[in-house]
Amino acid sequence: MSKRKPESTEPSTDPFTLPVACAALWPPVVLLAYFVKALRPGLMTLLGLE
Amino acid sequence: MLTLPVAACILVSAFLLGAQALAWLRLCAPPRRDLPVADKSLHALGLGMVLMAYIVLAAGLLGWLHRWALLLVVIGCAGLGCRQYRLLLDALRTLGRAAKRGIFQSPRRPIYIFLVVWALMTLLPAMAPPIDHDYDGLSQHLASPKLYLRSGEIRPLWSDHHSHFPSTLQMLFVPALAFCGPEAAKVLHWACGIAAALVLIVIGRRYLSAGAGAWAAFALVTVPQIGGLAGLAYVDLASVLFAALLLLGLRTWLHTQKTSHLLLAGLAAAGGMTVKMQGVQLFAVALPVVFCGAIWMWRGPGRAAKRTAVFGLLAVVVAAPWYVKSWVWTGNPVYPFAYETFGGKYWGPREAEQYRDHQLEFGVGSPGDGEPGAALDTPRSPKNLLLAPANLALRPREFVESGLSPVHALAWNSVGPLFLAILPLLALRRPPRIVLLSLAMFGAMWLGWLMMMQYARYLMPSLVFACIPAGYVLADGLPKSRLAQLVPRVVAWACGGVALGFLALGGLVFGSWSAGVGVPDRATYLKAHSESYRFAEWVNTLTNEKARIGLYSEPRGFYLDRDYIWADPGHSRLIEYDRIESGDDLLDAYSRLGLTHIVHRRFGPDQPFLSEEFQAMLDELIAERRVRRIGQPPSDPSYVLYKIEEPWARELLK
Repeated sequence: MSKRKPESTEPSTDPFTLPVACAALWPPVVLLAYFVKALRPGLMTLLGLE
Repeated sequence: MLTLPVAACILVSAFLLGAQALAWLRLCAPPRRDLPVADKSLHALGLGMVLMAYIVLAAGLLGWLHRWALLLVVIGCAGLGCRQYRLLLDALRTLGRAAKRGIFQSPRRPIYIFLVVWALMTLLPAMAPPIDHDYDGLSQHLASPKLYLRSGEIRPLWSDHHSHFPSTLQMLFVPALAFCGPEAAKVLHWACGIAAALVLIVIGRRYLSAGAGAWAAFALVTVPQIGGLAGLAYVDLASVLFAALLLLGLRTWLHTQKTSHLLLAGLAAAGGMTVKMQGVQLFAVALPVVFCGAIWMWRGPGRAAKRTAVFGLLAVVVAAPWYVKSWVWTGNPVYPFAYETFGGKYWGPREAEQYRDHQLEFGVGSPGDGEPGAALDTPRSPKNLLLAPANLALRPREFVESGLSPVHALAWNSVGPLFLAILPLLALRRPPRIVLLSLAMFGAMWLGWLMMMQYARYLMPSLVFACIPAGYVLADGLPKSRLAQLVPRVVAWACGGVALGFLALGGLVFGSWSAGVGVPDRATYLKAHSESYRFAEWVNTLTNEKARIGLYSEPRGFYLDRDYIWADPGHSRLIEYDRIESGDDLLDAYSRLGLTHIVHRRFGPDQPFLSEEFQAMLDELIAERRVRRIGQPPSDPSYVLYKIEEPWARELLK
């Protein structure tokens, strides 16, 4: 009986696949938006600049 | 000094009682060692808190709310559960071993160290005396127990409709206040948050991976509002704990298919309903989950319905006493909600409408004033419902009280960006069953929150169900690429850093870190940081023991050592202002309630007493020397104290 390596069910390790791009891009986009939209106005108020 | 020992004694006593109750119910009896120590212990703590609260409630209703009786309650609960001391020792040993392994040996060491740092950074403010931003604590959660202790019994506090809500945690605050002070009560609330994080670690470890559990707890504590709540005498972290226990119970039942584990979930659902009425929503979400789970297990709607009925009945029976109490006292089991159906004592259609309008005003957009086009931008319009996840993370001020400062809203009352950043990544892989279960429950809770009251704090118990999916994504659910593994975790750590930054800001701005260890002393700290303390101390010195005070525009009466009521319209119909036409009517109302003094807080020098009409009435009474304006505290001139100079008031003060 020939031994065949089972096909991997893991996602591709290619950094350019859509899942990888989503995982690498979406969280930083949210964090950036948070810094700009939520954190910055709060800090401005705290520092008395607004 | 006594803060930690008193809080620990109450928790240990509750734990032992809960463990014994589980043994009596044969849910975790020693011969059936079917649950790991951690699961058993956390369920025991939750059930013990519920039962101990009922015992304090019973003592209060019987008029035994004195220190000796409360000491008996605490010792008695521990005594009843003394046979379960082995479970307590096992739990402490397990926790110690897990902490040691997590901090010194685990590959997830940074996460566990972060959790310990968070716990210490929140424990210090919890040990500090409550100051003004502990708004609900000073007005309700601590204030009601203190009034009960003053009178030696639990009686209806008609001016505060919140006092008719289920009050499990407030009952535990009663012995905390009796033997120590509000600091011990705050530590009890903090402990609920820690226990909730431990439940998430257990769920993750048991049904996903060790990493998922650690990240799930991490996700919970990076919520700025969870950090803020951990330092306050609120009750929301107990709701969070019971939500987590419900998830643990349900998942255990789905795994083992044992009815005893379904009953554990039922007890957790009951616990949620005994802490806050909001727990009813959690219970309603759990019912279809149990039904679907039972159908999946036994393929028959008959058996599934039976299992669901058992779960529901147990939860309802255990939670019922609070709702029966409210029904007996007010005529409404969910007072003051559902006024149209049940009515309610000292409540009316106008109060009900104001209350409902207030609940609906949170969220992005205006609540809707009937103008053309306004319906397109209300908190419940399709656009804002769809954008709610982003708005919640990026516009936190829209989901809190309008008077809150931007810094306060952001740092201690927001949800933070972690869930928005991480949860969408669930779409990258098919998640395991526990994650799907959590997501389904979170989805249902989220929809309920969107449609009812978009108030950030009320979302906290629901977030428990989002923590497990977030933990799964961060530990196991990312694509196998170095970039895809690294970036979301770096973002999560950034969220964690922001959360710790907010805690540090709170510790420094409020001085609560140093106050937590007694520097400066309590009175100096409170004088420097709390106007509600300063005005109360001033009133305490100017009035005698028998004074009964009506508070206007200031509900934070905890530091008053006098009887008092909230006298504003809107809180209740104790004083029917719409029927008052003259100063005589007003004094009649005061004499009926035995008010000898009133305190009016003005938010501006020109703010009248209630309205221009009532200000004219008060001025006339002052001119007639039937009311005397005593003055204002020098440090807080916005408060004005008046004394009623009628013969009946003088008689009451004798």
